[in-house]
Amino acid sequence: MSESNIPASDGKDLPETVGRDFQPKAAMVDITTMLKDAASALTFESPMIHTDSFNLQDSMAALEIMDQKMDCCEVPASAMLIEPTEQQNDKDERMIFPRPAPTGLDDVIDALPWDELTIEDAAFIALENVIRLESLLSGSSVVESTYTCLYSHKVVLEDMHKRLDPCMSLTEQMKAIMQTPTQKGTIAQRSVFASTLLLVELTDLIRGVILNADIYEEEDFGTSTFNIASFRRPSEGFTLKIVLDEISSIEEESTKLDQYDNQDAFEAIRLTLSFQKDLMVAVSSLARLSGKTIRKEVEAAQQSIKSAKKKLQDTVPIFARLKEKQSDSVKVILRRTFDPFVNRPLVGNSPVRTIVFRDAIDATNEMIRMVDEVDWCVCKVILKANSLGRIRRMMRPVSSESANILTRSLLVLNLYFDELIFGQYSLPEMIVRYMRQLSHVPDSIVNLPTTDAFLNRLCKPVYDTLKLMALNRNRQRSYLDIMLGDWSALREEAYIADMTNHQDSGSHSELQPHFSLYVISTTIELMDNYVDLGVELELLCNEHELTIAYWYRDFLLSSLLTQLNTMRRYKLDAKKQVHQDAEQFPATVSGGKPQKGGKKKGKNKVSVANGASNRTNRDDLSITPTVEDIEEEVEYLFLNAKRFLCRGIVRFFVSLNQAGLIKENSFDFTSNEMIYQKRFEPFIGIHQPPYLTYDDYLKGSDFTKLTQNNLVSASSDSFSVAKSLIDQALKHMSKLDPDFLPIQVEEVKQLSKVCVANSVYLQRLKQLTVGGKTNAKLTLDMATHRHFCTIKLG
Amino acid sequence: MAETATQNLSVLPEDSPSDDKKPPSVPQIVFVNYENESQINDVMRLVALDLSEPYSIFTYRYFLHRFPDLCIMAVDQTTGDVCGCVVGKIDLETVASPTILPTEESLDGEQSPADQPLPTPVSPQQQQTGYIGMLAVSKLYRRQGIGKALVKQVLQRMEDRGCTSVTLETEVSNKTAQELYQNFGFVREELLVRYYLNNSDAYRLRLWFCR
Repeated sequence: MSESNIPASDGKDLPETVGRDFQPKAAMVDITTMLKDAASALTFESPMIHTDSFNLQDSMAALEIMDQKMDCCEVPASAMLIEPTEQQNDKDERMIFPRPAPTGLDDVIDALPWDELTIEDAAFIALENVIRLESLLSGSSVVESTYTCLYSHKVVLEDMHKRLDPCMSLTEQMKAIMQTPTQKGTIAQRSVFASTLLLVELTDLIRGVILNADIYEEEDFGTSTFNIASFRRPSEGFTLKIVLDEISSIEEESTKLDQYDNQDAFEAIRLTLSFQKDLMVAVSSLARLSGKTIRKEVEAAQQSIKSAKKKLQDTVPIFARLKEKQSDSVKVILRRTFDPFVNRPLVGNSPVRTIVFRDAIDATNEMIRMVDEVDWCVCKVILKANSLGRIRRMMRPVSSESANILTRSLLVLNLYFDELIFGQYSLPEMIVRYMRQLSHVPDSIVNLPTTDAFLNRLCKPVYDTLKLMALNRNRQRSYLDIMLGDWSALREEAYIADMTNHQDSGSHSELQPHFSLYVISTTIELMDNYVDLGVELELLCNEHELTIAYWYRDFLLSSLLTQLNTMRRYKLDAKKQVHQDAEQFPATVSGGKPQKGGKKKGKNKVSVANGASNRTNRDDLSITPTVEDIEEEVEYLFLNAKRFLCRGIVRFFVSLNQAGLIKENSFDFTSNEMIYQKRFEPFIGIHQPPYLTYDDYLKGSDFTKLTQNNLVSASSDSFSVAKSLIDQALKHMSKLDPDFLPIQVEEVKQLSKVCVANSVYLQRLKQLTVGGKTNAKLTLDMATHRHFCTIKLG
Repeated sequence: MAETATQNLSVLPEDSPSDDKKPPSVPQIVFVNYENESQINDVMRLVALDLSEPYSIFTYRYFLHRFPDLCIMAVDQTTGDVCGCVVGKIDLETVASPTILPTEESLDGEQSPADQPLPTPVSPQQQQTGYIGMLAVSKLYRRQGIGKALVKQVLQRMEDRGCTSVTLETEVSNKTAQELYQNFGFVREELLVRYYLNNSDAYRLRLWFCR
């Protein structure tokens, strides 16, 4: 700016804050107008004078005036070691600052590799795209995963599309009408385009599924896109068409090659594109199930998933071979096309997070595992789980194995739609069948209007117990806290329903509170799950807390088994009655008609409620146990085994306490009683089973009247009983479909190991106490089984 | 810097009404209150050395200006070096109080569940909750009980100010810190997955005061 344009000042207009003695060395110039003009062009997004490729952060970084802690929006530089040249001796370390987002293939800062792309480059770019996909599924946001691939940016994809679309110009469109359009670009270029297009398509698809299911937590998935624009596909099916064309082009091309000429690279690209394509097809299909063709669609999706898994597995040895002979030029290409911090300016003032990408083999294996989960966690469950008991058993591993958020989201999306469970089964019907399975609710009750009303009431809480299993394992505990309140409130309604049904059915026999039993047993299961999760997540971790946890679990499991025993007794009584009737009155027994109940005399009032299907089912009363009977029996045996395991561990801890090997802590600011109250606060509002106070715990765990030897023997007996129950259950398990097992074989082995190991260490304790030693090293090992500790004595 | 740390600063009193409120004594170490900005560098230096998260000066000021009495520094009397510090704050937390169970007198074992009185829910309350933001002890001064003393003092102050509980987060891998806090009665309340910027997990620990 020239002085002639700006009025001079002789200091008369100086603000008062400047001291009166101030004497300017040169004439002061009033730049207020200039500053206002410059400022009026600024925006919140662009707070300083800048160009498209140079902004405030860049200037601060260039001047090295960034403070890592003060300026959290700093764009981190990565240190790159340059191999020494012939003249140098040591490696040269240079700081490489991330580049800004690309503006196209011919980006001004650094043009993206395009004309020089080789098949080998394309293969490794495709592999890196799979690594980005895995990172997205593992919880990174799109700017930390997908869009760290510079090709995936909207402007670059548009550029690639323009260059590769054979019908972009009018002349080419005319030619296309006359003859088959020839493909433009090289195979390498088209492969990179196809692979990147699939990455973006899968990203959008996965985001849609996860957001719709709405069960994610912040640690599961980064939902923010930071307003990064996604490439708009010109038509539906665009991506699939491009990919299929490219796959056939590669297949055709590779047949022409000499077997030693880039065969691996071609195969790697083909398999990677096919994997991504199959995954895309399967996920989009599973996200849109509806109508009467659900089973066909799921079976087709299952085939796609299995194919995707196979293809990805086949890439592993191929990429291993390619990596061995990977050229330096490929490494340079990858550095130029993938930048983990290219989107940093979008994130603003958030502190810089470590962006983690697994190495290629780990990422591929993790991706294989995630893809496999879609098969057994979603497809198999939808196709095979045809009863409430089986749904619960099949969903339990989904929960305990911490399936990926995409898998869990697909499961939840399909859990209840078209007013049916998995779009196939009526939930009230399922609940009734499940209650029949457990305790045989008689027809006289099932067909009453109050039953219908209560079943409809039960639907949402039962659905919630299923959905709970699809949540993040860590967060299940906090949701259980809320659900316990709902189920506790249901208890009273269940009792009223039982009383009303008993009166309405005109039965003179003893009240059989089927609904109350069902509600109470579900409540207890949720309570047990709550405590169990606390142990699994290692929230309850020291000897004292674990003693309390297992003691409470012993009580809960015993209560649960009491409820189940009552239900089993009702079922057994009903079976006996039916067969007695069959022997006495063979002519009156038929499949479809309701029978007289056990001790009922007089008229049996049976009415079919509005909209209710005929819920008679005599199969559950056959003397020969059904497959589901055996599944329930196995589950019952394991519950019992766990109860004895808990009991044994409690007694083990008490023995250690009595032997002086563990001591209870005392605290300055709090107390063990306060800790206990807070730990079990969610149980206070539950009426049945009753809340156990800290005093109850002290009394219940007081074995001072037993000698150390007797206590150790009692503990050992508990482990023996648990082991024998596990062995008994194992015999039944061999007859069952592995998908319907209440507990996987691997876990059974772990439980057995815990029983045996604890028994061994109990003997060690015996030896120590006989020898009068009180200073053995104690270790609590949760590695064998995450819910039951092995108490190791050194 | 050493003179600044101790000059004209209020050293915590040794004579207190009761033994359990007396500040713990560590040989050669005196505990001083945070008083002004001249001490902020000592706090930042200590914390920055060992903690994985990068805090800006604004974060320190947020704690120290609002709750200066919850920042306590440990000073080596012989050298004047600030060798440890603890920084805390107090928040208002909405806590759903537990339901009140019917008393034994109101329960009758013969009554049906429908007739028995239901537990009485209590509406959520706002309670003061302490938070320990930072605790750091210089490597050379560890294993002398300084960390324990600092924690004890800040807990005492939080209790005196009416807090019902105190929370903090610590990395899952930081066994030393967890043992220190668990000895005071802190328990693991929640697992915070990928809590830190380096993607590591944390435990939220909580201590409930007995009242």
